[in-house]
Amino acid sequence: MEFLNEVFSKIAEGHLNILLLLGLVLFGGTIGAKYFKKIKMPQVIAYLVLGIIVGESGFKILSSDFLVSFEPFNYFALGLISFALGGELDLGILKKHGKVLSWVLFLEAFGAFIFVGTGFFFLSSFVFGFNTALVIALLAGSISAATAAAGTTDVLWEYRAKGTMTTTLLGVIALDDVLALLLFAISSSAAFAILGLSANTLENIIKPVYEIGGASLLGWGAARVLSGQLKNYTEEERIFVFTMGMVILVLGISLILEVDMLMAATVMGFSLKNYAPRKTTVILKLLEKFAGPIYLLFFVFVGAKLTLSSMTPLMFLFIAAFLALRMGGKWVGTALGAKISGAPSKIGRYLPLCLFSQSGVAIGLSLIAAQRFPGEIGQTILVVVTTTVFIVQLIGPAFTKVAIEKAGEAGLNITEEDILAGSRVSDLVRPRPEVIYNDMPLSAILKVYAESDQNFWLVVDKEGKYRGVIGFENLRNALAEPELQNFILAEDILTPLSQHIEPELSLADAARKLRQANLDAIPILDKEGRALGVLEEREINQYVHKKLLEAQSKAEA
Amino acid sequence: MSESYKKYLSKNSVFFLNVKTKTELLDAMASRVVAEDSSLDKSELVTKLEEREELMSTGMGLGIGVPHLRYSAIKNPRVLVGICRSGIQDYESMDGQPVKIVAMILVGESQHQEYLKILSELMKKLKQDDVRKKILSASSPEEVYNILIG
Repeated sequence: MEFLNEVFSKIAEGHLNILLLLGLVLFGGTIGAKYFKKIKMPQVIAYLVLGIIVGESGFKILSSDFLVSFEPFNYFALGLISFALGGELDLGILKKHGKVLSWVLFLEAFGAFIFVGTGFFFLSSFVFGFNTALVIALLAGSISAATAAAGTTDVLWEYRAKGTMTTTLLGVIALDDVLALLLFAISSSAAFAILGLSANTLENIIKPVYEIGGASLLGWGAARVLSGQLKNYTEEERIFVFTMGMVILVLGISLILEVDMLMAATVMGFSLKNYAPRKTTVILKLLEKFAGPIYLLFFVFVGAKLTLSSMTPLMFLFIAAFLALRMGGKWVGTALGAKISGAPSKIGRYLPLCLFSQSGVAIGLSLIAAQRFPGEIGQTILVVVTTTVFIVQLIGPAFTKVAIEKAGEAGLNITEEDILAGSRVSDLVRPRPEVIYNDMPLSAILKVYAESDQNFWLVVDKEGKYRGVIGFENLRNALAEPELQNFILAEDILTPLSQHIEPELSLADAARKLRQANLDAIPILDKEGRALGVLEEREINQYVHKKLLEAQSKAEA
Repeated sequence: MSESYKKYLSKNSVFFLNVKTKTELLDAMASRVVAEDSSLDKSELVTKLEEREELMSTGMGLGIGVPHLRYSAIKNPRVLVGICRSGIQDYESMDGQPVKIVAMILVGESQHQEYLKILSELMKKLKQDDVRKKILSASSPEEVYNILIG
């Protein structure tokens, strides 16, 4: 172990090795994610575990200095995640699910607040005095309302979740930090009063309102300006670069104005989606493609910063209670909210599983608590929150994955490309391919044609060997010459297409082949050259639309 | 309107034949084709013509045979007309009559439209009684050519 530590510390020495470290992290994270996928675990857990291994709790390859120097990068990654989260919130869908969202949001946040608050009050009462116990209860309760978006959204994206539960979840994780901030502000002021400390209550309340209100205004303004600019551009790359620039600007201005930067980025994404919906879809698609390495590094850095404090048995009790009460409160609150709002049963049953993750906001608030209430109160809150964050960061994504699968919403957020890549030509091969024999006269071909919904036919000889394809164009030419109706055969009018595809080919490759060859249809032959049918471009489109509709109706069910 | 087959018909591609069977006929006509285009393989051409005849005879009745083929080795459409006054008994015409006038049409694989047009126009022309009578009583290939062109 000593030897390993020495080797790793040598790697971490010197600024040039930052590149080596980043390379190792990206490489290791990708390989780790691959193995996690094999054991059906979300990739984000692989990144976090890698972070823990190389970070402060593990081999310390990523030193705390290194991690501090990457703080702006973390802001950027969080900004992108928040922007994408905002972009996924569709105003129309939110309005449609407004009642469910409002009830679930308020009750899951207050449920955690009340459960953790009450539980902590009784627990603390055994150890501390009444006032201290009350303050710890209020602070812990308010922090427990917060939920992390980053790890959860990563799982939703990885498993392509879509549906009423996912929509509600996105709304909840985007907004419950606002509730946590307000609850914390009110609890802090109350705590000052309980402890008889001088405090500016008004300032305590106004500050979070300013942080949230200012962030919303900034995000909205940025989206307004950006959508105005984007009208002048059609190139996807330029639109993407412009947007990334604006996200970074918003994050930077948030830091200067001391407003909630993640809220600003979320509101920006949300507003942009409503000002320029099509362009936002393009941006989110590109983001999904290019942000992978950024998210990977971010989650590894999150894992690297996770530390476990040395703890007393009493702290263990507090931590266990915080975890259990917070989960219980979120569960009961969500179930109650779902019941009152008449939400589908899956929301009450599975959505609470997605609300375990906590991160930045919870840690931030616990640090403020430690600063404002130094001593046993601050220490208790800080240790409890940072330790539970460590645990829920790791278990949260796994529970989210289970929830979206149980709710039947995994894999429903699919695009045309996903369907094409995930399907094979064999999925479209008819069980008994109808063919035209090459000695069939035109009159017989017309009869076959009239009785089927196929536009193209495979022509085979007596032995079933492929000869060519007949489509409407071939028939049209023949019909133009009435003299020939009973005289010409399929052999005379077929198009002897030399290109063909095999049933194992992916539909994406088949569609590409059709496009490249500028064909409307292509024969499907097996390895021995036996005719299996014709694949028409029209059939591919019908198949994709059918699958998209299936996914959509499942998501809306 | 000028029929498109006239574009591909020349005095050299009209001839009298003295054959008795369909096999001899196809062989003789293929020889003529290859004589004008040495890049073609005669035996392959004959095989292809026979394969097409096996699917369905091109003897359309009234003593007319129209062997036709789309074949990748053909660059430009070719039309050949052979007159066999003695008649080919084994042509398997629709009406069972021996074939005396043979119009062979050869086109490239992708020349669908031209192919059907030539075939249709030639059939229309040859179905005319007076045209057939004149062709069969013509004394030289040139005369036949003029009848078809006229």
